[in-house]
Amino acid sequence: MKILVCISNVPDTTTKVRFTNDNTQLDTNGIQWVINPWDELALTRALQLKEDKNNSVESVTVIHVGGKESEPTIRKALAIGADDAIRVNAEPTDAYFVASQLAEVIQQHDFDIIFAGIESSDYNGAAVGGMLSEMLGMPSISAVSSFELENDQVRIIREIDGGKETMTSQLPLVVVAQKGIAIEPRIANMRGIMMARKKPLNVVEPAEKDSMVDFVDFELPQAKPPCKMVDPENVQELVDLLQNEAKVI
Amino acid sequence: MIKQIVFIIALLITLGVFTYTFFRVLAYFKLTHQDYPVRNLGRRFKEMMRVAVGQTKIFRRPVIGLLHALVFWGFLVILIGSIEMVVDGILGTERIFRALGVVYDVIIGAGDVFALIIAIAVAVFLVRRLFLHVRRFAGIEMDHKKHVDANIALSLILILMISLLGLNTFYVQHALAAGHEIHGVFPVSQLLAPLFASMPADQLYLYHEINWWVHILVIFFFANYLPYSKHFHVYLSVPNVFLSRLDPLGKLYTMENVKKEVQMMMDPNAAFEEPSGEEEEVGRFGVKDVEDVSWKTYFDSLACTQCGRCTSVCPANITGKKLSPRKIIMDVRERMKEKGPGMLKEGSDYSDGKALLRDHITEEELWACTLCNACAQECPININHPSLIVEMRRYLVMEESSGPGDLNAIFTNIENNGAPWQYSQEDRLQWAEELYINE
Amino acid sequence: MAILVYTEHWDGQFKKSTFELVSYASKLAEMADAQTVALSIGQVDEDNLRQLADYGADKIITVNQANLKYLDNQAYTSVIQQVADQEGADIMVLAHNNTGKALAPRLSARMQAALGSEVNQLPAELDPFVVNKKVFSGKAFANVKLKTDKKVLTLAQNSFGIYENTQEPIIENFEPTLSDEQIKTQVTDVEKHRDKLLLTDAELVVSGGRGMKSPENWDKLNDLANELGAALACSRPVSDEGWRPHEEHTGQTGKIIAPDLYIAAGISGAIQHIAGVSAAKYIVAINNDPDAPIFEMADYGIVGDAMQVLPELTEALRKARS
Repeated sequence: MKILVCISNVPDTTTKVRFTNDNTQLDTNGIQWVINPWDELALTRALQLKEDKNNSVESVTVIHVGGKESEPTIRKALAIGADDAIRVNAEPTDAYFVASQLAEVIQQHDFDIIFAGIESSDYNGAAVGGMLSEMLGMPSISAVSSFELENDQVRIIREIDGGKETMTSQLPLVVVAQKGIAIEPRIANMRGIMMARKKPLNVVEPAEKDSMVDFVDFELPQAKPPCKMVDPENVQELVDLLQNEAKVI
Repeated sequence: MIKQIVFIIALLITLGVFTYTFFRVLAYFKLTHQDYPVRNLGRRFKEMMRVAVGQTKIFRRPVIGLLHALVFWGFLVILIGSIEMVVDGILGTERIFRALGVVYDVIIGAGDVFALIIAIAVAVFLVRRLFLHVRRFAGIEMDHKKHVDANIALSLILILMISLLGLNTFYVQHALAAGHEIHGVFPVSQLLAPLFASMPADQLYLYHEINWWVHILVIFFFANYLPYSKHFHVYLSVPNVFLSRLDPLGKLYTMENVKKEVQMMMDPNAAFEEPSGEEEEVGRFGVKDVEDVSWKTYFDSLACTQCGRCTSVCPANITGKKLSPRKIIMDVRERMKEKGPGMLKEGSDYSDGKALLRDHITEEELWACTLCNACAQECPININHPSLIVEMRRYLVMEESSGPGDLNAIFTNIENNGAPWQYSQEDRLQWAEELYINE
Repeated sequence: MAILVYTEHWDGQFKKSTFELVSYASKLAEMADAQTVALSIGQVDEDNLRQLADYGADKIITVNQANLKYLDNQAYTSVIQQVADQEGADIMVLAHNNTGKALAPRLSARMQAALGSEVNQLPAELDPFVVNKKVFSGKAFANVKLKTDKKVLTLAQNSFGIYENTQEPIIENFEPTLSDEQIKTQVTDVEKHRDKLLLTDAELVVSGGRGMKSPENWDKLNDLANELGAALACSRPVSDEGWRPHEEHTGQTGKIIAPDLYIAAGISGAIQHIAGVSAAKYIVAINNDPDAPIFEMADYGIVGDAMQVLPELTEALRKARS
């Protein structure tokens, strides 16, 4: 059984987000790049499945669409334990473009399970996994919080509003993973880092594909206004504010 | 003549067994790893004199410490008398060192007094072990066999001292009865001698001989028993102090086999280079099993006398954690005993499916340590427990990235944010904003 | 031209979020001079279906097939696409919840329709079709142009509001072309949880600190939490004292959470606690000390005695939602 994990390269969570070029581009100065947290959890799960002697997982491959500057992040995935990596040499313009490139490459291989994080922490598109599965004509299960392999049969739990559903599926399958798929992301240890340099990182040229959306520009949120004080005699006002202004209830 | 032959045979058997033991232990040492270089011999000599011979750390428990110090110093003195007995036994002479004159008197006299002191001290130790509940002697690592071992050793020493006093007493009384010159001074035995005033000379001689043989044969047995007992420390404690690390406690040693890798990682361009092709196999990081420990750690484990002073001051142990510094040192010795024979027979790849890590020393014990070094400070023979704990942690983290969850979060934060917490690098100087510092 | 809105149901019932979605689709349809068509898959009876018309649905299509009882992403996508083709829908609207996240991207790829996910408002105009959404996990907003003729949108929850717009609907059945072989996933078990909400997943959190004076006063927080459907949290001294289980401790050394709403009662706002909740969308502080640091972090605050304010707040909420 061969597992593929799609990973994207995102700024780390403590990054102070800023834009340049008239607010049309992310300012990448000083950004620390990491593997998208959901992808990292999916990768961790894939590695756990491989290490379980009861399963017949042969290999865990990671795939990424991005330029050479993403390679340290891809090496990190190898250091964490992936066996090999594929990088499609193109800037990831939008989710549709990325999914198209991925589909193009995946079609030339034979993966049984394809993991994708449910969204990425940069553009929060929550799109690539689903688009990819449609392009490949494969079934997909989304919001997966648990993934088990028993005798090469999958046993998946997906989260739905107010509950969970346990599922099985035919393979090949795209698994769109969310929090819970693994408890903590695995980190690279010294041995892994040393071995990562020797693992194959294949670079492939992209196919001719279009994007369907353009990012016009970006805005930073308004500075947080000072605390709006409410009279303790009039808690109704707070309820109104929460319902109509904050819209959280 | 016969006495000499019998003696020499006994001596040869003793030396034979001893030699076997010696080479076996040496073979085990060859399975272990390098440690810090042994330099600074002058400073080491001073440390040895202070800690080992001076027994300074033993005196941290003043009363029992004094008793032990007296036993130790007594042994040193009596050692000379024992050497004389071996020479006498081979050559068929009697008290051949008397040629040293006054020096001989001092040595023998001191030995006689020490024999009594040691006998009393050992009696105290035995009573304490058998009838009092001493917390320091209890622990999960202290099973029945360990207590039996301790009691056997103490009993043998008691027999040695009684037989020494005995042979001295009968020597004195026999010399008086037969009109021989008394060589040496016997402050204690001469007070005991009159008890046997009514015994005929040849009976006195017989009892002298019995005591003499009991004494030397017990020494022969004892000399070979020691390496298999907790009392190996009789041989190894002084060398252990001489060889102990001179660096301040708490100083960690860098890992040479990692240095190159880290230098490469610090260089951002190196990440893009192809691997150079000929890279030597880097050995295992840290300690997982007994063949990974350094020779000094193994030495520590053999010299350890299981006194438990380390565990008694360990803050983790005192507050109920699983860690016992004594236990982990004893575990190294046990594990070598368990795996060593297989490794000697089948080579260093031998595996019995177990390891020092997890099968003997659990992760819970390793992570409970605060690296305060109280154990290393307290140990009367300068055993360094924390270095073993650090090496085993290094294995866990560097080979398995298996630490307590918080640890992995800290590593990730240091890697991404340059600090152990989840705060942006840009906020680092926020604390200084209100200060009037001119940039 | 039609706007197709996928209206998810739960055991045959629609929720507030569904009505918000239909309101959005209806307003969009107004802009485009188009019909609002709602699609429901599963067993929903006619009275409930009619509710959708109150918020602007002109046509309600229902698909009720046995093999579609549970969500199969591939199958449902195909059904939505077939209905969209039949109705001539150019814009498909779904909720940005787990179901929407599962279906919208597949639909987008299948119909070559640009995807605008988690949008929080209507586009200013139809051409160019530009929508606004959160990016960088809420640290910024992006304006995204959808370049294709057909478009798929998922609406961020609680972002638009519910607007009544009663129509007289046509209700139709639709039989999709779907064979059993096309359904490759299977649900073997369903678990509904009405039990304790996991703190780290909760969108609404009610939290108490030392200012609550004693563990007995937690009943007031419990009532508020139950009314809101919120999870409970607490500050460190409270869990250290054993008043509350340590799973509830939020803060630097406890859990770090990012709910939509965090109500802190009797919490002073020490930096270590704030570190655990600063990512919350809205923070409400209730404290009788006007100088408490928490008011610097809060969006809304009440200076008063939590013992009185909490029951009043619970009561006011109960009235507002009934």
